Amino acid sequence: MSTRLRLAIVLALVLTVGVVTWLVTTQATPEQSLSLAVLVDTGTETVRSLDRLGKLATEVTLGEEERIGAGIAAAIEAGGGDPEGAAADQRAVAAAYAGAVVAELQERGGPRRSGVQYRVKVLGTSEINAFAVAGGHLYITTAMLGLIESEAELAAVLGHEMAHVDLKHCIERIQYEHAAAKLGGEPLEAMVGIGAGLVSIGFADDLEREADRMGTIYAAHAGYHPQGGQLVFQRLLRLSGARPEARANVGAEVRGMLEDALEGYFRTHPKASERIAGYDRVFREQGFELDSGRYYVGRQNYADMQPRAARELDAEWVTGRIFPPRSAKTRRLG
Amino acid sequence: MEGLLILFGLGVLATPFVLSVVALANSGRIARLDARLNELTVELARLQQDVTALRSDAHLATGAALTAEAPTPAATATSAQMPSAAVRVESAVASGATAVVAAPPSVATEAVVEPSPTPAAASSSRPAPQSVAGQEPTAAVAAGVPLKPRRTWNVEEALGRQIFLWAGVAAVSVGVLFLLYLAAQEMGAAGKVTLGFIGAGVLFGVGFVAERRERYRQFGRPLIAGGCAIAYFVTFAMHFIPAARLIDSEAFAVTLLLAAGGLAVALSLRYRHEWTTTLSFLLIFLALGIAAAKTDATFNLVATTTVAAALAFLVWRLAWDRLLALGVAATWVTLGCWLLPNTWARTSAADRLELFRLLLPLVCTWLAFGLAVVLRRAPAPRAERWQGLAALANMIGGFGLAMHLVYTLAPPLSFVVALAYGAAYLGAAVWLYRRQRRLAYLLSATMGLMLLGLVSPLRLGFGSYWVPSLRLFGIELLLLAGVLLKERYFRTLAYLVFLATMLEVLLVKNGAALLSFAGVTFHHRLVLLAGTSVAGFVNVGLLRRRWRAALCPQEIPGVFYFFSTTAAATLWALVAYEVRDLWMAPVVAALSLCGMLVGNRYRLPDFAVLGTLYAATAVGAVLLFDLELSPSDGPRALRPIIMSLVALSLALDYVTCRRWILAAAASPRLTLPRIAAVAASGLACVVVFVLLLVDVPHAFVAPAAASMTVVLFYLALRYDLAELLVEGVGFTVFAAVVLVAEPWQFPAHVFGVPARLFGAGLTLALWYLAEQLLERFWARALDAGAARLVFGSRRRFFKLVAGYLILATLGLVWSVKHEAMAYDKNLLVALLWGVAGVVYLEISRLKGSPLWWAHGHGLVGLGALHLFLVSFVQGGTVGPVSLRALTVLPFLLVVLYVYNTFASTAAGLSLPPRARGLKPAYLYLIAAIVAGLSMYELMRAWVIVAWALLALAMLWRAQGEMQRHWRRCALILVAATVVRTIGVNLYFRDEIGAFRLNLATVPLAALGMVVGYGMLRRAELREPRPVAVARSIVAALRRPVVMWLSALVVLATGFVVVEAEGTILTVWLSVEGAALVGLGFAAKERLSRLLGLWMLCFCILKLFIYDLRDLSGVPRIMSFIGLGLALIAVSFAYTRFKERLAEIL
Repeated sequence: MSTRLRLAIVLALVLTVGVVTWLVTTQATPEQSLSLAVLVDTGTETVRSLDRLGKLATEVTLGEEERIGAGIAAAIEAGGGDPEGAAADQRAVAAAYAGAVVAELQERGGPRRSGVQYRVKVLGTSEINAFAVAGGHLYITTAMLGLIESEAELAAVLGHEMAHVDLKHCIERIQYEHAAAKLGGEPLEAMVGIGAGLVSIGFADDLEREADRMGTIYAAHAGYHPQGGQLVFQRLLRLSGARPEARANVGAEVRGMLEDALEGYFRTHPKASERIAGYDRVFREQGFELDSGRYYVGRQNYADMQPRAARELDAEWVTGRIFPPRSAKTRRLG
Repeated sequence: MEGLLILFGLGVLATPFVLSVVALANSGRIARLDARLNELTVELARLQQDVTALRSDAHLATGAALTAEAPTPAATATSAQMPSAAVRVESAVASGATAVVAAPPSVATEAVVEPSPTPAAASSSRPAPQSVAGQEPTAAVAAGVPLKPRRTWNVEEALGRQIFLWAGVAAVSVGVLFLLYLAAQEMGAAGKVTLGFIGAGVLFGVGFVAERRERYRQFGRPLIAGGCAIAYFVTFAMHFIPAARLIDSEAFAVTLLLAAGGLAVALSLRYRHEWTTTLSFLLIFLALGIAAAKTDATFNLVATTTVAAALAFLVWRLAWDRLLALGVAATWVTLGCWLLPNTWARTSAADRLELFRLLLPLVCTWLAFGLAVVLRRAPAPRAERWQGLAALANMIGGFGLAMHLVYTLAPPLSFVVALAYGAAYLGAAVWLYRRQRRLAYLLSATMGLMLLGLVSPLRLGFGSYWVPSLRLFGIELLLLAGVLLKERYFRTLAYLVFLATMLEVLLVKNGAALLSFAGVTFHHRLVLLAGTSVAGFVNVGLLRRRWRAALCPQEIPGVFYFFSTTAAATLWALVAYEVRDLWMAPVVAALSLCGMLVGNRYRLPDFAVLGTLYAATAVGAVLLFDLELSPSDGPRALRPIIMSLVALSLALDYVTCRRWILAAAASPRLTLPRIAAVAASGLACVVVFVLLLVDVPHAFVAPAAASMTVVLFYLALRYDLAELLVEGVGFTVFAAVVLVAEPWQFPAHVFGVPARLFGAGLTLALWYLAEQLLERFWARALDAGAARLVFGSRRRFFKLVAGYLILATLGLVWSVKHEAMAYDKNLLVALLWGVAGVVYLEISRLKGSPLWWAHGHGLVGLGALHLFLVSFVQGGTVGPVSLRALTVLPFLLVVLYVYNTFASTAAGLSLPPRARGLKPAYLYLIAAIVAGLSMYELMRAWVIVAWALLALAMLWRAQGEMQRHWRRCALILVAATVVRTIGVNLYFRDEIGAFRLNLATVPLAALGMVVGYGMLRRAELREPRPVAVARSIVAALRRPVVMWLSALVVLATGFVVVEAEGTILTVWLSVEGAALVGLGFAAKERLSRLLGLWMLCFCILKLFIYDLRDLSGVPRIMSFIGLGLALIAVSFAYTRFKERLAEIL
């Protein structure tokens, strides 16, 4: 290669970089900071692949899962709720309503496992939460019900919890302990529990993202607006008031990178902002037409606690987004 | 459907039977063919012997002709005038005559009469070594020794003859167990036991019959072992399993069990195989373990002692040391299992008779085993290790249990018992020392010394501060013994105990009052610390002067350093307690200077090291005490003075001990003092660093450090103190760090000028001055002796000069990063660094500078790191293009350019060979960038397809000198594809609508792998290379083809296992196994065929054991026994017709 040609190529490279620099600097870009995500993702994949093999080896049947889940559910319900929470009859109405939504999701949403019997219970506590237990026991708190404003949002939340059961996340969390208890009794179960917990916590947030994804798919297949989940997390984000911390120098950036990696490993749920962004990916992958598609929202149904299956309102069918697209922001060092 | 599958499984299972039956039907014809084959083999062997003998005769004749030409041997001198043909015949006769001694007559006759067709002239032209080597086969034939072919491990043989057989026996055993279980519900106890013994008898009978025939010997022995196991189990069941209980007496039942174990031992002795007998003995110990929980003390102790004595006798007769080691361990574990639970919680003291009754068997057993070890002759080194293990196990078990017993039942006697054991061990040590049984002697001596050494604290009480002093006395005695006996082991023991004592004095003694010695008087402290210190210094003096001849040469410097360091440490502890404030640093620095002066005066290199350690402590004291002073503290004003004094003292240290730097050139042993001398100057600089940081205004710190650089460079230049250059560079780095940290930490302005500008300008000016000094130094650097010692070579000095370019590059890197962060455009950093790297590389080509070349690659590498840390995980778009692609793709162009121009850029530069090996790293980087981009840009289920295609493309592109790396890169991608498939695709199982993406993506990826495998295999067959026979899995995995195949199998199996379940899974796995067998035939790959066969075997087992698990009762028993018999039949068929089956396989 002649020197002239080389210089021409180098010049072209410099020009390309110049153009890219110009393009990037004229556009508003999202926050950019050092991250070990590539490394963590690769490591997590490897651990997950090994975990998959372990889970296959210690798989439990649906009947056994239901038995284990019933035990856990009994322990949770024995704990009781917050005396300051809603009255029992109100909770019963809400539970029946949520149960109807779950039945709708199960019938039309297309979950993978058949034969799972879902039961929804409402816990009277002031903590905003919803969770699932192996065997199909779904729990939602009255505080969470207070945060939700439409049936589509409720479907997203309950679809998420259903997905945990449907994808066997709940039973897989205790699968190793269960196998260890069979083999070596309680001491081995405790030891295995600690070890499995430390390993599986590395990809616990992946499971949450997966449940978000599947929950959205169930809801959308059942006709609910797919952006219900985004609305819920947007409200949670506002409540928490979390703002990304500005990283002023390289030291802080590297420290933040390490902290993020460590925190990311031990975090059981992704950040709300990440989950909102994750929904966009699901919409893109699944080809949901958010701008032109027609979906059910069900604000009035939620207010009256009457499921769509019992009373479908034409006004609740909406065309277009109910959550605006995100805009990137620019940060400058002061 | 399930019925059809069962039929399919049974059909597969029955196939070997049918084959066996057909083969047996043809057995007559096969026997005739075998006989004919044997005849032909014998004939062939005879002919080979003839040919070999003739060849050797020809060589001998040639050798005789050659020796006829050479004048040396007297015997051939007479035939030197004969014609060459006559010489050949006569020498052939002579060699034939020698061969007659052992070879068949026909060989000798033929060798004599048949003339060699080789012309003498041609024979004589052959090189001599060839003719000598040609005699070797003749010698082997003449000696009548058959040449055995080298035996290699054959998987098919192992599978067919051994694994199937053992699996069959296991399956039959399980079936029999189920049968017994079933029988337990239907039959009485006597019936069950009888049935069991009949089963064992049948196995024994068949086994013994088979064992007598050479061909079925391997078939018969597992059957005998199975018979033993069943007999033992039935004997156990006769008392311990209620459903088969025939015997009520526990002692009688255990005796029977012991007898069954003894029978196994007796049977095993027929084979004279140590491990077999060892395993049989473990059966006896199992019985004793069972007895421990069931029978009374006397029976247990007597039985165990008897077994131990028998074992010891057997070991003594047969010299089986491994049996001894495992037997000793098993005996003491068995005794411990009984003794510990029965005596642990005991509170009441025992009478002497009871103690004697319990202790006697223990002592007898200990003595029997001890004698078995002691009375053995000096064994081979390998066996000695097992004896050592036996001795160790006997020590731990015998002594430990005895002491536990005595301490629990009669505590006052423990002192006496320990003394007795110690004396016995010392006595044994003396005996063993005389018989040169080194390992056993050392173990015994250690045990004896430990016991006797532990006795004194027992009497004095562990808390007494006299114990360390007393132990110091013992240590001196031990050291003296080590010197007098010239036994290094004792000396090492003395060093270790001295170290432990010193640590005890410093750390453990007086517990929490570490170094403060609360409650300990000055008198005690003096005894403890000064005593240890004086002992250390006395030892170092004696060892250096009087006892030096007794030490090993390699031991000498270490011992000096050890004692002087430990002595100095205890002395330092004394000083540290007395002076604990601002003045500690100067006092310790003065001590350091004293050490240095003494070392310099008397030429003691270890004192130079000691002095440096004290100097380090002084620096520690500066950091610990002086920095703690607040502005309100009175003595704060003294701090600069004190720190200057310390720095001066340390600088004097350096000047004092600088002789060692020069002396190190003559003696490599003085490396440590040399490092100490350099470290002393470094420590002085550390104090100055601290002084600058804490007592100089911030804006002046960097210029002050730069001025220190100039001063040190000047001193180095003027007085030829080359090591000061290192410190000068240290101050440069220090100044650079201060400058980098400045914008965030320091005030904005100094004298109205921005602080960053002020400090940077002054510092850069001083650096320029330093560079000028270096330029002047350059000419004479390697001529000066000290400079050569510090730098060693011109290259190292070059590195120092290059430091200034490094600073410039770092400045560039830093500026780009800092400005990008300031404007929140971190994404561009990698690109800018990458392009800067390309520019550096082009400059290096134009200037011919390897330094610029290295920095260019460094910048590209740094850019790649930043790319992975920032660009891949960023979201966002610019128009229709994602930000990620927009920044990663240009960087990929940069890397591609660097990869393609690598050779031309490096041409003409004087680079080390390792640097030229950098090119493959760019290849891996390109693959990583493409893989990473596809990982984050594509939908996650499709990533594996992209990776598999990328791997295929790399495999297709692999050629030329980089072929190996392209292939390896492809292989890594394939491995990553497999991991991702399991960790992502098979974990999340994505779907769009009702379509499961895995049904498309995984087969596509697998197809890519099959194509890649085909390409690799084709290339391997086209260009055959000498591949070593795979003797291990690791060796097999070295072949890329095997790795690809393994990845393919893992991927396909994982896919099938996740996507199918139950009996369908078995079907799919069978299909995969059959496909692998087919692929193995198509690609002529044995491994593929074997994997397929294994998979089919697994499917058969799964079908019977798992899929048919719901069966119960008789069908289950029949299925297990049927499976076992089928496997045994296959094994039998393989044993009987192995040659023919080998051809089929």
